[in-house]
Amino acid sequence: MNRLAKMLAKLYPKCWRSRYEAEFEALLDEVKQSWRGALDILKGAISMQLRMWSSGKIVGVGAVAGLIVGLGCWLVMPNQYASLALVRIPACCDASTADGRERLDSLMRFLLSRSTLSTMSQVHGLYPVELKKMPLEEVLQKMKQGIQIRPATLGELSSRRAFQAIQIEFVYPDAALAQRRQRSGGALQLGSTGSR
Amino acid sequence: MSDPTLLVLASLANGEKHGYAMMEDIENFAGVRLGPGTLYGAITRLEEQNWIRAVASEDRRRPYRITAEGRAHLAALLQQLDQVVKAGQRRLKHA
Repeated sequence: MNRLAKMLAKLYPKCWRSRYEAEFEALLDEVKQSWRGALDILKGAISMQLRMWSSGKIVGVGAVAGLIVGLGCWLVMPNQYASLALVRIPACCDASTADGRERLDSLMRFLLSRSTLSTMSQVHGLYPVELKKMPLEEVLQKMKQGIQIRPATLGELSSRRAFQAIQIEFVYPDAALAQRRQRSGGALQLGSTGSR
Repeated sequence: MSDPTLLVLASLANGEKHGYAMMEDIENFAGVRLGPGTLYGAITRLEEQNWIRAVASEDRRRPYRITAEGRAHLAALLQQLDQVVKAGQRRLKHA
């Protein structure tokens, strides 16, 4: 442990060591070393290095460290693809009427129901790795989290008056599967698949 | 109370000491065990401020002594601390 402490002491800046190294090592020889002590020396070395650095060097090193962390996150995190589908709502589901709202809610419940999601995952072979490791309920919950349903208006696609629609977004690591899921999940596929 | 610079100054107030002696002394009077990195961080800062000074020594263990400026600074710190302690005690009594 004493050897480790002396190795850590070498991390102090050179100019600091030229002044204090001999007495610091004498102290390390007298103190009973522990992991806590080693951590304290490391902390002291980092703090002293930062004290000796110019602000430009701190900014430069911070920028490089940020770049490395960002690159690491980019490499570790899997690609996610978001597939969008716009589903035209029939006139009977006009959200301005109570009956229409009820029908719309029922449609949403159907889309997010256990049986619909379960069928989709089986038919398209979604989440194969997760299904091996996790219970079906957890996988379906994950699938549900990847689905977002929002109201939308489609005016430009029709020469007649604007009509109501719902936008269904499904996020999945495989672009082709994400799009296939949407094609079967919506009556009208108008969106495109893109990397997120 | 765990400010290492205050503890080192208080330790040197009654005479010169080297690093290990300071560690032991601080543990005795304050109940705080300073790590080597923390102790030497404080020593470096205090020496830069000219509040302590190294004493020439044949030994690898170099003793330090508090300077007149260091003494004045310690007195000011202790006065501030005293005010905080007194205010805290007053408030505890009235609570």
